[in-house]
Amino acid sequence: MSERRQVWETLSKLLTRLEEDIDASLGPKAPSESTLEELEKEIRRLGKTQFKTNALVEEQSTRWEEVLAGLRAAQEQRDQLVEELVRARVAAREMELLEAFLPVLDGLEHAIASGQRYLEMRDRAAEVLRTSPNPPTAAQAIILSPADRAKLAGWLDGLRLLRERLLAILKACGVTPIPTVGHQFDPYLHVAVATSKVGEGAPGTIVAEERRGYRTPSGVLRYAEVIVYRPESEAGTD
Amino acid sequence: MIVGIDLGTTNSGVAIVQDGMPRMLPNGEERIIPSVVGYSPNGQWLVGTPARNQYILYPENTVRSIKRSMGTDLRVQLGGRQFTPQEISSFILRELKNIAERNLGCEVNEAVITVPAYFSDAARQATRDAGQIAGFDVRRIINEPTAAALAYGLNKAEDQLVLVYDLGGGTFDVSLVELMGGIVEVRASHGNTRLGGDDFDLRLAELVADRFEKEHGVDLRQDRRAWARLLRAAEMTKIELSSHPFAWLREEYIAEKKGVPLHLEYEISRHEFIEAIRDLLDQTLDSVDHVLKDANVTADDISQVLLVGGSTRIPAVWELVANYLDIEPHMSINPEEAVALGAGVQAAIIDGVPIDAILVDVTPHSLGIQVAEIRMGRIIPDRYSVIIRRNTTVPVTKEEVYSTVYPDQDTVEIAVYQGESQIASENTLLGKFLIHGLKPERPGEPATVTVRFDLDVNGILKVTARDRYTGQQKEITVEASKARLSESEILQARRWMAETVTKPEDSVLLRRARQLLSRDELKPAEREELEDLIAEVEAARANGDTGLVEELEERLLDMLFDLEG
Repeated sequence: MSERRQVWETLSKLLTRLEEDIDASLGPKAPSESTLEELEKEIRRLGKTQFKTNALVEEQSTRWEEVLAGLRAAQEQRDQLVEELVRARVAAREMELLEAFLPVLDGLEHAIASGQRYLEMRDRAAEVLRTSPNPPTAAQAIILSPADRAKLAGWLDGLRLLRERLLAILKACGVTPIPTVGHQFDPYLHVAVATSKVGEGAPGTIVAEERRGYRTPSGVLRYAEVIVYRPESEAGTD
Repeated sequence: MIVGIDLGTTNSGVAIVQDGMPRMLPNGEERIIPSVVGYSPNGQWLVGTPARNQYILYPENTVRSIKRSMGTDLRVQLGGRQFTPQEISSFILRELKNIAERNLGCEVNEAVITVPAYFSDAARQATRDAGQIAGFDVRRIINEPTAAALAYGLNKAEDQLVLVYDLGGGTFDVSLVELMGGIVEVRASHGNTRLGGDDFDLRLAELVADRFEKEHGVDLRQDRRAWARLLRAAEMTKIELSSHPFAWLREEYIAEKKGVPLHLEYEISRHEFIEAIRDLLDQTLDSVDHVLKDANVTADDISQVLLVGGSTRIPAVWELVANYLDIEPHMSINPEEAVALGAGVQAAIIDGVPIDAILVDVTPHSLGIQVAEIRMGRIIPDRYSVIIRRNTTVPVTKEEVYSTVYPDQDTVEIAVYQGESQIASENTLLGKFLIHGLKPERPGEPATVTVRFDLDVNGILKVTARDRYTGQQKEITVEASKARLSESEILQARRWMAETVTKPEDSVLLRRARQLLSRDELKPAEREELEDLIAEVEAARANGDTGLVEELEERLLDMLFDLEG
């Protein structure tokens, strides 16, 4: 802009000088051919400068518009990208957290399984004692006591409820256990950790689960580790 | 589009250069896939994780580590048919091709594939054949250490000797790479095809199993299920020990003895773990010696060391190599991906795609605390103990344990410094604080304090000091590097500027002249004259002849003025 103003100032100065010159030359004598020619040249030179300045100014403003549009587009693109990135990161972080949470559930299941084994063992012992002709000792009486059994069973039931609570949280996040026992082995859901020569159903049926697997709508969070039925006759015949 | 492929013994991956940056092309959540091929009973071909999943069930129809057999006459029976190693490898390559195509949304027909430096010509040819069977035009077969050097952008650096130390999950290689005039050449290579991270897990699991057996008289190795759990826990503990001096290995209800549940609960120190794998680590140094001898050079001739392979994340590996060669090794690029990324760089070079070096956000200076060292019974104050080494990729968390100097000392000052000098006060002090009320674990012994550094991408460092016995802690947050843009941010900004704001300065007059040409009102003669003049100006500008440019532009101005004005 200042360039433009400068040009205008120069122009107006020159015009004033021109007017003075014209006034002076109109006085006593007519302008000579050469002065006119010079004037024409001067006017053309000024015109050219004006033209160049105009071109520059136009160019400048187009460039500014372009830059502004570019900035706006970049900003929009950036906003969009940030949004996408945040969404992806949050989802990934959520899955990481849920995955880290799974061993806690595993531990709880181990605890329940261990308690149930003890309860069954206790029931077997009680059965033996009940059919025994000898009266029970003080220690054996505890095993026979229904109140004592109820304490252990109740405690285990509490753990089972706790497990249900954890599973409900997972389910709310879209994480569900992968079905295993009785289903056909699927390498996209299960990892075979052992084979069993005894089993029911078709070869390739899962007979036991070693570690529970979990899936989300978008894929497997953790593969289920399973033992698969493979009759002896089948092995090595492929 | 040419892709770069790391066809590994255990895992494989595919990478390309996009927007100047090399990046892995993921398969869903997986950035690399297991190098396993299988055939399922219902006639399905499986590659990667599903194939690995069925290995125990159908070992006769699942192939692992085929890379070890490349270039041999071995035949593998799969789904009732005989396959050559190159055919099996082609399954993996085709899967990677599919992954690349899914990511890029277009067909991918050309590839650069990496092989170990020690691969014979036959094995290289077999790899090339595998690529062709998979439908690739294999543009080049390159050595893995060469790819690592390319990933670090060393082809653009000065001529030098670089040692590439590659310790993966199951194999170890060390190579001496020579860079000359942008050409990367492997001078010597040595290794152990049966040494890696799996061995470290095994050693740690053995250590814990021994302890458990001593305590409870139960051998966890005899129970497949318990052993599998222990191996997995050992791997997690190993990873944890890379950033912490101690880690808990916990597995509840791992066994039962006479109906009594037994649990695993041990705190493993980094020191114990390193001692358990010490001999394996030392073996790798023998290979380093071997390579130096084969190439007839000494450690002094080496100017850079690159660490590749997941197991190099173990801090002891870094220290081992650093101490042995007296050079700080580089490992800022994810060591599991460096080879694939380097293959991607080679692909881009062949394709003529512009590449900026792989830029990762690293901390430019080491960060640590002031300590006193006791040497030969004398206390040496003002020493610097580095917790986060320079060139470590951020964000990062590191933890170290320190003892008080005197047994009854209940207060320590944690002074946080940034710099490289071994004398703490010669570095930049970032902040300090006191932690009081320390108690020793056993009376009469010095108290121990865990110092934890959490550094984020913005250079914000959180320092936490915790008394190991009482658990009480104190923390401060300091700024490690002030308002410094990360390299990738600078690059991004620079590219944006180049594209948007500072377009190469074109002459205003030239642009205007070209605009004029697009109008119809010009007479043919005028048009021709203008076109000629434009061409002349362009030529003069291209030649950088400023005098001529000025003269010609003056003529152009005259012409434009007459035509437009």
